[in-house]
Amino acid sequence: MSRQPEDEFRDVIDELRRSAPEPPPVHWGAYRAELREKLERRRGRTWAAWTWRPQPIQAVIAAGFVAVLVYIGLPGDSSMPSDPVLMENAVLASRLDVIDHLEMVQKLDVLEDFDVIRNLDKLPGRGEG
Amino acid sequence: MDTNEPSDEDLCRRVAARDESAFDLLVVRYQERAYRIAWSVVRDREEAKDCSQEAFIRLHESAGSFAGQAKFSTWFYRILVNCCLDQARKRKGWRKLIGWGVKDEERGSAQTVEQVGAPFTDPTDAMVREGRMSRLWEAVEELSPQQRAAVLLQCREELSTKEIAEVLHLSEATVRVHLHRAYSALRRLVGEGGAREEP
Repeated sequence: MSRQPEDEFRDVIDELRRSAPEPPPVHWGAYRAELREKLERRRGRTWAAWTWRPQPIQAVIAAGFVAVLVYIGLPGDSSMPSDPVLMENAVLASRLDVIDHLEMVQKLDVLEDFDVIRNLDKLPGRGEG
Repeated sequence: MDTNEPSDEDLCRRVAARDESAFDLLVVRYQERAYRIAWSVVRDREEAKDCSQEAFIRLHESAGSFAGQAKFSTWFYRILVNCCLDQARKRKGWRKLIGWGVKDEERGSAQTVEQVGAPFTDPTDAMVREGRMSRLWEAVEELSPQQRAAVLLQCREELSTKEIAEVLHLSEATVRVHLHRAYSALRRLVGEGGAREEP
């Protein structure tokens, strides 16, 4: 087969070239605009795929960051713990200055008793009732 | 082409360096050829648009891999033909590739009108000639995908045998065999058809 097909079949090739069907027309401006849009969309998808792809290093960094945030955000010197016992201790601690004057507080209790003693005479006797 | 205008190869290198204006220029240069080749393979307007646009997108993404040893057109046609074959496999399966499946002209009158060629001066000549032409191209559609691609690239895009071999990833000898068989079959068909047409 020394001859090239294009030489041997010149008549067929010419006929094919003459009679080749043309594709439906296209508006080239719209075609390019559509292409540009597809290209942008593809770029966006590629970027999103890259950023959302689970990567071990990124995951470790993110976990560390969250841990730091949690640590910083934890109420280290909170005055109101959630445990009721701890809360009671906290209330007591806040009144330590009152407890320092315990004697006076006890005397206040005695004053309350004085009111009762003063009115003893006015109380009805057992047999009178 | 004006000698001051950058070559396709230069433009491709600029695309690799993210020069968007170079990409736009390449699109303008190749859009019609790309669409025509794609339509010749998939025979559907929208699919041909999608395929050719996909080829441009792949060109944009992989311009850096263009080594510059082959012609840009050969490299780009290879991308394009691959896109068309991928598309044909994906949407229609091998039925479309072998039998061409549903074509534009079967879909509705609007597209049929778009595809009707300009009328000839002599209506009788036109009928005979049109009959032969449609048979010839119908016969092209019945060739194997590689034979058909080789015929299209030679007849419509006027590529050399060497360039067709590069586009289709075949040896030149294989391309020559494909073309020889395809043209022999077509000549036989045209001859038989012509003989039947004669009163």
